[in-house]
Amino acid sequence: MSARHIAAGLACCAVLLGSAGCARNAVFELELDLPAQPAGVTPLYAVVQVRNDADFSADWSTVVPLEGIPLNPSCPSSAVTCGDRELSGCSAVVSVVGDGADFTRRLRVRVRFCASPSCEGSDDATPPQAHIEVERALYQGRYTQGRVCIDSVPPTPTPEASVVGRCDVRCRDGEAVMHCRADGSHFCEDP
Amino acid sequence: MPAFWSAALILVGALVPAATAHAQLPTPPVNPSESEVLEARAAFVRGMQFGEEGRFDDARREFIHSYAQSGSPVALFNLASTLRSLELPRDAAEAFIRLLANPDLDASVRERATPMYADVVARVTRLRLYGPLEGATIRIDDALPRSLTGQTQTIVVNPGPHDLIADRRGSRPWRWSGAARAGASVDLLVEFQAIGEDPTDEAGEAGDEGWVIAGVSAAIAVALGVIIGAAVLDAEAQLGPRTGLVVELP
Repeated sequence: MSARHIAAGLACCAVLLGSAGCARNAVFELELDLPAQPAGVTPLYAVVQVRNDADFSADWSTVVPLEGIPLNPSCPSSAVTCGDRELSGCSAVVSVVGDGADFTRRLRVRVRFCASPSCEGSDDATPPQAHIEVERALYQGRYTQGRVCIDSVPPTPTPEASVVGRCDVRCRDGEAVMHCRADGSHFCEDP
Repeated sequence: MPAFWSAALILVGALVPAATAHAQLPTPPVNPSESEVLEARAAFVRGMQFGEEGRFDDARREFIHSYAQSGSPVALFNLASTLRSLELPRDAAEAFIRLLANPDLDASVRERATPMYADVVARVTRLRLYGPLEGATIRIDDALPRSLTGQTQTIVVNPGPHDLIADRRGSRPWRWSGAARAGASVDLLVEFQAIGEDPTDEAGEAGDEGWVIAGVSAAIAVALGVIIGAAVLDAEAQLGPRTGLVVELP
């Protein structure tokens, strides 16, 4: 353990003595690169739901969705590798806040492409959707980021989930290509 | 210009306390439907009413809605004027730029908008970044990160307090928090420290001096923590979301 970590730990404990003030929660910033609005169809909204207590086969009707994000008519080229793209008008960053048991649970995100922002319209019975599964998103007291690019509106309401691996989740102290150390631990974890 | 819009030009001139929200100019439809135009007019009238009452935040909301529905240059003009009165010159300038870029803009509107644009441009704040910016991104307040290039870059913001975080791969984030007044230019040297460059970073690399510094730091931290700890609420220590879209896991 480095001197910096000891100092940081003691400082944190000092505050803890006074107020129980160390951040117990964590924030995962999911950078969603959304597809362009397909030509010739009803304007679509990306309706995002997030949970970590069940998989995609469960009933998601009780999971409160975010307000639908209207798809942009034109988006930057999808030829650029997802991780190298700049966030654009076709991007949305969703902050997922959790604590305690949330840290070790897989995070599942459902993005439905609906005709209404609430996804409750008459055309939204079985909307096409994308599924995203994050192996581990949250680390206590840390902001983390993950990037997922949905290049086109999926053709199916039952897609295969895109998996964001543990070492693909960025930590602000991590480096670009791999966000785990050589020993497999994540940069967001103490070595 | 249709009669409704030409009769509805207002100039929101009063000064009101500064607001911190960002203007996000919407992209209006190319050919708005009749219902959209009607809705836009209703929003415009509400905006004028709010403006007359000095409720400029409400007026801004209505003018944004009106412009989003109709694309009306007059709605955009009044939005820009309202942002100017809200002491948000950067946002106002953005709206004026879009307005004045319209080649079909009515001459009377252009005549009124041009000096107002010059006024707001003189009141924006410029943050001039220097350093190894190539390949880095910067996040300003709650906005999405943007890419940086080269060695210098100027970012135009509204006057007031701002938080900047610059990231570059393989380096620790660079942070700056501060306030700048209207019309000021602030020079900021962006320095990145490579991960692992700090001798106290990794196990085994810290010498005796590092341990002494760590001990002193720890002692100071403990003392400060006990003193201020009682005043710090637990909730304030929690991480807060930095984007508008938020999901709280149950």
